[in-house]
Amino acid sequence: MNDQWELLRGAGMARGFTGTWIESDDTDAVATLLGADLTSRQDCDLATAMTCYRPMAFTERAWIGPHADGWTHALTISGPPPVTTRLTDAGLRFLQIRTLDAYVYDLLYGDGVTTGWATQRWYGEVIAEPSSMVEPYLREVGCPESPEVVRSGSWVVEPEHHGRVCLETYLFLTGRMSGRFIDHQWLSEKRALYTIPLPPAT
Amino acid sequence: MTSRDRFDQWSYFEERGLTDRFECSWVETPDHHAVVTSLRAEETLACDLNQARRWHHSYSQEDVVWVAEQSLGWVRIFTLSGSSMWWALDALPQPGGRAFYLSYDEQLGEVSEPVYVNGGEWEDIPADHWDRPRQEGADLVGSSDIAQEMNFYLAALAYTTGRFIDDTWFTTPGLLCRIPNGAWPRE
Repeated sequence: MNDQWELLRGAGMARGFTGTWIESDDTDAVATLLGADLTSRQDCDLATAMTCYRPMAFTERAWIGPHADGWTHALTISGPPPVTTRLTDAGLRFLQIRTLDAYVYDLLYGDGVTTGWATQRWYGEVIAEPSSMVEPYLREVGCPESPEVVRSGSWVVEPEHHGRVCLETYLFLTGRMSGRFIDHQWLSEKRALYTIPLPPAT
Repeated sequence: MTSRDRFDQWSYFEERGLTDRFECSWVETPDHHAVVTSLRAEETLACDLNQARRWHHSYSQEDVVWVAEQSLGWVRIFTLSGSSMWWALDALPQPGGRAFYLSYDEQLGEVSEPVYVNGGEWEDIPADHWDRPRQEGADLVGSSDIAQEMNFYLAALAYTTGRFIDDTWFTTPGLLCRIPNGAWPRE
């Protein structure tokens, strides 16, 4: 396993990474469930998609495509994390990792019925409900190694220390569960870039 | 739904996960679009607060606020990320108008003393502002000490602006606004 976060950083996502792993082969159906405007589809590589990169922009865009057998990946290129309620309504399992600046959010998972979090505890420890879908994989993690500090100082703008260790654990979970880790091949594939309109007010 | 105590305004933020950091201003002025212009927003998106709360991020440096009408003659500014823009508060009301600013930070674990502007001047809040909520026991309603304190302050603001917070507070059309870095140079 490569250093997953180092690969994502290298692709330009240091300021914010939101990735959603969805257990489905049907990428079009996943795009629809995430609210994508199917007419906005643009097939492109990651470098092209990243020209629209802007965490938390007011326009939501995701780069969606096959990840591994039985799994689709939706990488948020701009805007907030995608709304996942319709994935659960459709009975699909998913995992979502999210960082913004130095902050690492707890991993959000859906088991097709309900959702939960694999929560962070000091120091670098991640815990989940004993019977949850992520728990068996979490047990494989063991004692995490502390990754090298990339940038330290008074203005920490990327995940470091505790957050970085937990992030690496989360990326291990998503890799193990989906059967595929992030690697150079993954980063050089073509997927479909969509615009996701603001979901209607409820 | 109908049985909820109207003083339990904080519960609407609790159930939406918006209590880790709360910053809101109430400005006496008729037009929320004019407030958006005065805030020097660069980018806006028309939406309600239920939609806008997806942009809530407590630890960001980027200034993102949501602005809407509170009631006739009052505008509210709800902070989603970054600073609250409270220092701009004296420039926002209509001539002679008032503005209030209320904030709570979970990490600090305390509600800050509300800030008040009256006719362009920063002033202490008049003592009688708190009379009615105190007499009616608004400070006894809520799920925790912080909730009770917030409900006390929010009740006074509700009486002043003429509107209590309920589910409709989150479905009012408004504008999500991004205020660019440097729009308000700090000396």
